[in-house]
Amino acid sequence: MSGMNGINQLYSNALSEINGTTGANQKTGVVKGENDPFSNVFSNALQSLENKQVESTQAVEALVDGTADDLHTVMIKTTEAQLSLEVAVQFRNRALEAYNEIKNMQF
Amino acid sequence: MDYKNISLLNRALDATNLRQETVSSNIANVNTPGYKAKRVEFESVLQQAMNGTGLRKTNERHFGITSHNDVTAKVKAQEGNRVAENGNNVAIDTEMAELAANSIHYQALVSQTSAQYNMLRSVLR
Amino acid sequence: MSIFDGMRINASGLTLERFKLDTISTNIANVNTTRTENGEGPYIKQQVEFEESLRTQTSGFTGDVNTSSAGVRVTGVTADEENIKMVFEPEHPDADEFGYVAYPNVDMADEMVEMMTAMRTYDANVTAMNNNKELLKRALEIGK
Repeated sequence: MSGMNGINQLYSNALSEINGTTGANQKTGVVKGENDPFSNVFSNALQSLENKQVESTQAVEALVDGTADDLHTVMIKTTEAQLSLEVAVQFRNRALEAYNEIKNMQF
Repeated sequence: MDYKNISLLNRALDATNLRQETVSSNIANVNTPGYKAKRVEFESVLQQAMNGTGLRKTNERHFGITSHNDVTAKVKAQEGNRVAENGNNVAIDTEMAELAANSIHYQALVSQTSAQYNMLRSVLR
Repeated sequence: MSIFDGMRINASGLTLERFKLDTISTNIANVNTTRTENGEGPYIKQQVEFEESLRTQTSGFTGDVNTSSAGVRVTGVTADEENIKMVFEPEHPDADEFGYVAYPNVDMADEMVEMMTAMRTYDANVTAMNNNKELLKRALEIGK
């Protein structure tokens, strides 16, 4: 579950950064951005994805060699790994989109 | 990205397939005089290979079991069952339970395999 | 504890109940048998003895000893020689010198009751196993 929390945190971080750059209210988004640069956020997310993948690999190994205690844990771990991967892919896509948007801006 | 998970699942699917055939033949021979029930041995060998207590390969011409790729399922005769008067030791209820368990195990492995492929696919999309 | 332990436990129950039914059938079939295969005495009622089957596992990593159920197991068949019925039938080929014939100690009513019990227990095990199977099939639907 900690991996999922990591991704939740990632979302809230990203949200607060976006809020900060709009500069609408008191939130000092710039300072937060210095402490927690986007690359950190991204590598944290990748780390939690990696953890999910390792957990799912272990679950599959347990299923195959007959040491798994129950079937639902295996299914849940795999589903979580799958979802985390989808989230990461979507996140990359959005980041790329944003980058392209900024790149194509007319000054 | 390595395909270790997928190849492991492939091995397991092979073993499960073999187990299905074995259980079917046990059920078919439930009244055959002198028939001994057969069991597929796979998980225990795989566990040894994965935790490093399998057979070490010390000579090129020897078989070694040190990685999951070396593990093959083996069919063995079951011992310790009640033997009927005609020398048959198949217990039909046990075989039916094995049949049901094995088919669920097969479904689980199939869904895990397709999950692995789906993960690869979702990266490519 | 592994995924299919529940089904294996029920399977051991099924095997036991089927063995009991076999034994009860033998008892009923031999309710009037006055001579056994080796030519001596009447048929003696047989009864299945069984006990809880436990499996202890020692964890390779922590050394913890775990005890889990493996269902039931048959420990043997006993023949109880009490209550052999002596009936006066001088013309019977198996009669002793006083004209008495030893009849088996099988009580038909007892056997019927035991047979019903075995049947019901068998049904219960089948139901439990089917539920187990459905449960696992539901688990497979996680993430679909």
